[in-house]
Amino acid sequence: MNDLLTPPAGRDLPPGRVQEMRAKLLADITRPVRPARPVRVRVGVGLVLAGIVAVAAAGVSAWSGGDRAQLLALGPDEMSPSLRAAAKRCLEMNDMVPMGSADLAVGAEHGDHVALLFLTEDHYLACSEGKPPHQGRSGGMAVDTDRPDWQHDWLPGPVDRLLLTSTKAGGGDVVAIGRVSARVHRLVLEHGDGRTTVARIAGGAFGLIAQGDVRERNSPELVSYDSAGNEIDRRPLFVPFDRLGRCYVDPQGSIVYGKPGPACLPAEPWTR
Amino acid sequence: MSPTDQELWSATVAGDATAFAVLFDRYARAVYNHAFKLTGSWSLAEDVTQSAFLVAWRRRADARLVDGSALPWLLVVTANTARTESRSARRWFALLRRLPAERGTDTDLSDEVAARVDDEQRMRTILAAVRRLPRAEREAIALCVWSGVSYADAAAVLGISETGLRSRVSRARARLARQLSDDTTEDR
Repeated sequence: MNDLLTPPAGRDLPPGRVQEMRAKLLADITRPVRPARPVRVRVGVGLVLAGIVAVAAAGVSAWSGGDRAQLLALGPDEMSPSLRAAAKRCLEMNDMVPMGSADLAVGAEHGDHVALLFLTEDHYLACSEGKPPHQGRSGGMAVDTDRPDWQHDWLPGPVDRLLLTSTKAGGGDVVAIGRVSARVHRLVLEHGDGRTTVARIAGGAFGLIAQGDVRERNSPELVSYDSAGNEIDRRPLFVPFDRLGRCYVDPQGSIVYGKPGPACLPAEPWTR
Repeated sequence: MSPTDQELWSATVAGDATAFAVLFDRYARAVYNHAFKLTGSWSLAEDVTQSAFLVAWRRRADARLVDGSALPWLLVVTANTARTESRSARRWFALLRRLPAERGTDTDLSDEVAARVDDEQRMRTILAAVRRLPRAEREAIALCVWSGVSYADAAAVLGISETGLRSRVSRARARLARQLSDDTTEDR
């Protein structure tokens, strides 16, 4: 192996982290599964900053002010100063695809966590950023070149989740952003414990911030409805597309997403 | 005498969280470093490590110990976790230095932080080249070359032949050599 490709030497976990992680792991695996809770309607407390639109869709998505403010911006005009700053950092770090601040499709902010999705005709760039207590800011980015099957003009069904972040392993507060087809009128996250969170949709993009310990073990699902209120799609939130075992074809029958299978579903066109 | 992986895993499969915690203590560092090599971010590697062990617990009945060691399977779980939870083999980065809690101002710790930042820059450069490889070859390089799992053990846990795995690594090396050569030519 060329020296240029020899990775840095191994390191120990930071002091104290092994104990923290061990304790958290034990807590997670020994915690009893909580019984399903009744639907809890949380009335949104509007936080309106200049230029920010925060929607508590159908009264089930909480938008609260204060130290743990949640913000969801669809498009560059809705960005808060902190989202704007995060977007700037994301774009500065991006050296892979041509992208600018005007290309922001969705930005979501929850406490110390920010998730951003930029979209152009040819590319997408997704960033997440967090600043855990007493620690520096860290995060990640994803681009379409990491997902060779991604297509701008087609979606794998009604929904294409492009970025999912959570505050804890296996759940926590969750931010999901991506694209939807024109026939998706309403997109709802069913937490799997009786609670739901409604995504905000605009211009073919969606964003949602789900609070309150969304647990992977409860198998939360993203459920799409058309304008008549009919359910048109249901898919697990935490399972990436390539593990769904689904395939989607264009009108000519050519595979657009997934591997060929006996019962491929129609891919859906995407328009802004 | 400390219990073997096989003994610990048998207890884990039976639901013994304490036994699983011993495996965590035994392999957390290896998983952490493997996660770093897959993500290029020390802070993300912590998250992946935490998640990988949680996934390993959930899938404990599916574990495949090789020559009595749980490590190869754990590293495969780590790779899957990094790809899934880290948003599908996507490139991660540390935007700023991660400053652990209760850090003083002594030089050693500052050096440590600076060294970790250097690690991340170096690893990102490497990943930029490796990312151009097919996924199977990337995983083979990470498992066998970077994390030192033997070809036989890695092949067993991946469910492919040792010859096939060696071919993957060989192809990956060839591609990387070509890439480096091309990049060098372009730089001239």
